[in-house]
Amino acid sequence: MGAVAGVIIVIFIVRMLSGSIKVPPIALAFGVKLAVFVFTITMVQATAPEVASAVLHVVVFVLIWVPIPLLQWIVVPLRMPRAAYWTVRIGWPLGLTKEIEASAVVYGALALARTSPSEAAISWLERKLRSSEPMQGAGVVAAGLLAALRKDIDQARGLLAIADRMHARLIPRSMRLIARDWLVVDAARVGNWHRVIRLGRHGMTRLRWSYSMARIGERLTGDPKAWRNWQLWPCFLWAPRRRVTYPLFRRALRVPVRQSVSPDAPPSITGLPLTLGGFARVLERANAHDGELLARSIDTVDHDLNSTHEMIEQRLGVLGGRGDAGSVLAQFRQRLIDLVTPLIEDDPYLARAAQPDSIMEQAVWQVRRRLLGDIDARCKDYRERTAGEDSLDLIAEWEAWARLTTSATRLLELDSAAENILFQMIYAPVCNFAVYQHNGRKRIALAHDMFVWLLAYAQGAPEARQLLAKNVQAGIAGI
Amino acid sequence: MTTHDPLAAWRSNPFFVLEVPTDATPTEVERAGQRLLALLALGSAGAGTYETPLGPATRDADRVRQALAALRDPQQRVLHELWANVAPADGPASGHSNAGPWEEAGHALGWSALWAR
Amino acid sequence: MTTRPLYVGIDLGTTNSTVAVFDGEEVTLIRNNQGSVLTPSVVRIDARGNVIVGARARRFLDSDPANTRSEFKRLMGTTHALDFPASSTSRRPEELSAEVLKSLRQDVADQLGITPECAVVSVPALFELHQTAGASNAAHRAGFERVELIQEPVASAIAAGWSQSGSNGPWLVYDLGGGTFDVSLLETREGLLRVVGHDGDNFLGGRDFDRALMDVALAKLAADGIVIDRANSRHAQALRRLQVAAEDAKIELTRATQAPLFVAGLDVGGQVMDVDLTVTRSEYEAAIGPLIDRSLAICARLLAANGLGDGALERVVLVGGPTVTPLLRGRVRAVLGADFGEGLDPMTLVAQGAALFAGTVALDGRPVAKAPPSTGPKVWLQFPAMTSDLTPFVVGKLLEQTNTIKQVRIARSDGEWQSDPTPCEADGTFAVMVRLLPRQNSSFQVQGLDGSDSAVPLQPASFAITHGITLGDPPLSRSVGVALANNRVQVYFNRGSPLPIRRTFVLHTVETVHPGSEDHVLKVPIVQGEFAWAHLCRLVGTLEIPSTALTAPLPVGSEVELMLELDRGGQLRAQARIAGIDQIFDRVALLMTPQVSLETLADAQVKLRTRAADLSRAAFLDHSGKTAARLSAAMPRLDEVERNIVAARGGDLDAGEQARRALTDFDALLAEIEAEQAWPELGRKIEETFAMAVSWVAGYGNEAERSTLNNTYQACKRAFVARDSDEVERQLAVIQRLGEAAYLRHPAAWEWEFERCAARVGESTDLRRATELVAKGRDAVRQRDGETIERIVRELWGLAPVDHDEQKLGHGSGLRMR
Repeated sequence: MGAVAGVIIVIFIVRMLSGSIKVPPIALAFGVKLAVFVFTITMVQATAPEVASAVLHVVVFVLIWVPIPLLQWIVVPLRMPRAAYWTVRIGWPLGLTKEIEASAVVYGALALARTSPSEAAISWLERKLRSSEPMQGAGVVAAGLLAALRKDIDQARGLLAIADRMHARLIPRSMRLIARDWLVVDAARVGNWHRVIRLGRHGMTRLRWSYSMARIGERLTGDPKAWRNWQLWPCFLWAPRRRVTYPLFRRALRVPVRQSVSPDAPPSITGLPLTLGGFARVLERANAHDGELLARSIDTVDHDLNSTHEMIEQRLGVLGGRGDAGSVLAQFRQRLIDLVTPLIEDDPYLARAAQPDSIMEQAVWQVRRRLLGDIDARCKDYRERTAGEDSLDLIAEWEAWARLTTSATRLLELDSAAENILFQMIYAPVCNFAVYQHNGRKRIALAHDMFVWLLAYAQGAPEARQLLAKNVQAGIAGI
Repeated sequence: MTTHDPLAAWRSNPFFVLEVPTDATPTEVERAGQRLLALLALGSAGAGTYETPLGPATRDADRVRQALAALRDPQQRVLHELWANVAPADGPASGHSNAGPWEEAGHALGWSALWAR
Repeated sequence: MTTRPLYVGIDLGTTNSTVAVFDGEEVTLIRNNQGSVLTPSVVRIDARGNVIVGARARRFLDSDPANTRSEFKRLMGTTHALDFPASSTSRRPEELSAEVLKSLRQDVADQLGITPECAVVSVPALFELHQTAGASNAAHRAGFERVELIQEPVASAIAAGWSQSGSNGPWLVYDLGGGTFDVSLLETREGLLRVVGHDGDNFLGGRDFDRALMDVALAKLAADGIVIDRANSRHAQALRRLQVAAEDAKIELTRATQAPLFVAGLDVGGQVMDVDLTVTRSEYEAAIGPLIDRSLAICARLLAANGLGDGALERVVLVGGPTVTPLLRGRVRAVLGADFGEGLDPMTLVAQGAALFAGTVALDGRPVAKAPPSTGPKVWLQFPAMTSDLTPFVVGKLLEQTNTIKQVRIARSDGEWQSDPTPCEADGTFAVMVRLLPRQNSSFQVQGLDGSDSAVPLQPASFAITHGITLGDPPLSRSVGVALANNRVQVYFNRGSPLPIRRTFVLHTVETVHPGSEDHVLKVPIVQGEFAWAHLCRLVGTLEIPSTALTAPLPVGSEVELMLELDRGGQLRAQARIAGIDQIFDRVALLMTPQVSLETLADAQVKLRTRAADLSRAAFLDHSGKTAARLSAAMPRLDEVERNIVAARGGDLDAGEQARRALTDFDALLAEIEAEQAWPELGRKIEETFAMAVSWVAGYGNEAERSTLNNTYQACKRAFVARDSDEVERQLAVIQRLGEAAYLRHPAAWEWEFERCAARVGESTDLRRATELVAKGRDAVRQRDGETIERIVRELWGLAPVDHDEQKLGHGSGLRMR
């Protein structure tokens, strides 16, 4: 019996190695692990004494079946990227079998995330990532973390945002968790609670920690829909990282839930120096993430400017200048716009409160123009590269796509009415490029993400929607 | 969401850089500038930083020179005077002071190197 | 002489050069070994290779012109090499200027016994970067270790302000030199000298007065049947001899009402004759009148640009030899309505001012002396060598004995003033306000106080400050920036910025660059000029990033951090850092301007004439009288360009440069007019496109498309009002696409498209395939097979010729702004 089983197994292995039988990686991993486990346990039982045998049982069990907690609690905090990498490669966690190399790079990057990493370590991880096959969700997460280690936070944000919204078949759950947690921390550390709230989603892609952070964020910003204390407690307890999040949670508990959104009383101060002082404070504090307050303080400054016309003319006369007050005021207003523009670029949601023809709205227009120019240039590049069949390496392509989606997302956050205009601009070049990547370069995951993203914004173009839906289906089938 | 400082440009207002009041005469402005350039050339420690109503900032010889040039032009000077007349911050700011940033977030999760600058 | 500082200033003129020194108290003009303060800017290289500079060389100008060169100042910074056949060598204009500067440096050494290490050299205000770099290089070549440049009008202003009593208000420096005309508007307020604005003409000067007189003489000769042709190189020598005679006549005419013009044995293409003419002052004045009017128009332009009306000027200072002409003085006084500054020598004012400026920036030319044996603890002092402030600060730092010396005291040498003991900071720095004697040089002693009764003398023990004017940093005369791929300019340094200056901007790449592709270079063109369009600005240098130097592909939109730096010596430095790749590039190529061939100039002239004619016609049809008037007023400039090209063919390099400059200016004028006309045209296009799109979308579009169309139209109009052509084009493309998408939903649309493509089948890139498709298409039309028709039309679209509209106007730039 045993011999027959042995022969069958040998034939099976030979045919698998020659490629005539295709086994899903996860099944393969399971099978190998089971074999190794049985073998090792047998050896341990045979050789080791009682007490040691029990300990070794546990160790072997952990190493073979649940290496992830070992990684998270022991290897990664040791700050040894190569050890983390090889632990994943050898440990072969079942959830990561499809993209084992890229996942190993992710854990290597996490190991470097505690202190300032060395150039050599980052380069080593990048080389490993470049040579890893296939590269889908875990690869994007790895690229994002490496970008963050290289201090390119914008690029990291773009890539991890792609990973966060990827199709479930393209990214392991643990990788999506890392991506989303990073995005939440990235928003929370500067006080952008609105983004934290948007990240903590409901439904199928809900992840515990980001969900609880979102509820905390709602409380901190005084959202009237925020949960009461008795609802927040279980949410907090059910989420991981309780010890770390506790101080924040206590802060949230202290904030009373408001009945409705009452606008703050308009400032009762007048006179340009005072309004400028108020404006400076708004700019400086984390309160800057409250768009309405910002808009109001700018409008007050703008209003007070009108009464300075005479004073300016007097001053010019005293100083002997032949300029005119009108141009001084125009320059002042332009500086106001220039002060606000970078804030809006970083967080376009601030601009939702902009009134027509206000200073804020002109800043919005400036940002919008820049974003459209950026998107235009990138689409032109896609068009040229499709025509020339010119493709970069996969990481670079993910990065380029991440940059385009970042600009597009910012544009839509700035002005949701721009959705259709945006779609009209990017549909043709991106769709054609995605087709080229899918058919010509077999980069199914990249193409699929592009089609899905386009489909989400194709509301106003029925023919395009049809075509895109077809492509999305084709992509999923190919995964 | 970046660590961009929105007030950096405002702090380099020529009146702040030169540490002169907005009603200073041209001679007083030149004198202050010349003194600062000399101190900076000597490598004096205190000359490189200065206080403004919006917080401390740093300066170098280039910035002092730009400030002097800006204040020589009457139209530029009036513009800078408007910006320099800022009432200092006092009293609580309105708005959600609870919604401040959670600065230790990265450190708490053991990811501090991912946002290093 | 070693105890007084040596501040050297040099006026490097087109015709004559001068050197002056300032010792802190007074300005002295240096005489050359001929005994004159003016050294002609002429260089001769004889057969043995000896270099002769000055009046001795000038004597050979007409007898041996091939080896004697003058008036090379305007050519500095170009790659024109001037030949000296006798010695079989060639020299660039920069090298010739270096010879002149070397000779002047030697004159200082001869007169004062010290060879100066540093100097301030004057340059015309409107010199461009490559020209100022050329001047700076020439000075270094002449042996000066440190060189700073000052604009000529600013130098004149310093010299004028120094000697006039303090007055407040605007005044004008009218500098008409041998080759260039500069006018500067300045303002003095409480002793602070400020440059308000510059204007001028790099190609208008006394030389043009000479040419005008020459034209009078040539006309007279032609009337007598003797024709001397400027374009004929065999007449070149005759022209030169006539020119020398004309110059003498010109000088005579400042005093007399007529002057003889006599040249014996003039060889005109083989014929030898004597020329004996008389030129009257009125003939001369009629000839130079338009030139003077041109200069006054430039003055008026400068005053208007700065909001000054008639009679607003306090004073006018005249600088330059040609300003002694009586007609000029009369006209200037009449038109500008201000008095002249008195007691100022127009020929040497610039050099004096340059020397005074050297004093202001403490550019001491004395060789660095060995430190004498220490007689006290060392102190490092910083103070203004010259200032208008009667109570400036003196700042210092004790370098030794900071523990024992806690206070410092400064006393004036005449004993009439002494400061209070001033405590020192922990690091030894101190700042003391001193009191100056008005309008003179005050010297001071500095002493340390260690708590005991006696004072500790410090090393150096004394210093001096002159009370005069305060001059700010010299301003940049033309804006400098980087050309972008869309032919716009990212301005780095605005006109009027103080020098030295440094600025950094982050730009983005416009295309993907792969490493290792030999011919692919990322270009960063640096331009100078006030035009909004990069192709009209002058290219002063290109920072090149070769793709072979990249280690990884550079995707589109990559950040390039570009720093530009300009110092007072006119040297430009550029550095590009590519963030993702972390490499730095700083090689700036091409700071010299390439030679432009005469054929190119002639072609350009013809093209511009045609363009101008078209614009004129369009202007008449549109009844835009103003535009038509502007064009016809500018046409004489093209005639002048033609004349210059003709002269250049005869060997006059200077005229060639002038023609090139005039063509660029004319091109800019046409571009401006075209842009003005194009704008309403674009507005019409928007309305037409929108109307077309609306009609289709109304019939065949859905609700979302209708609202998108409206939003896009609003955005387009707004961009149009803001004159943002990029944004308008973008929105227009979207409107067009929406309209087309709706149009194609019409049942017969594909058939119409098919007919259209079939009609143009002759233009397709693959004629055989296209004809096949057309045949198949006709079948499909007969069978009413909509899907096949659509497929065929799409394929036919793919075969249509591509419209390459790429104009590499932005100097081939690979960058854009965010």
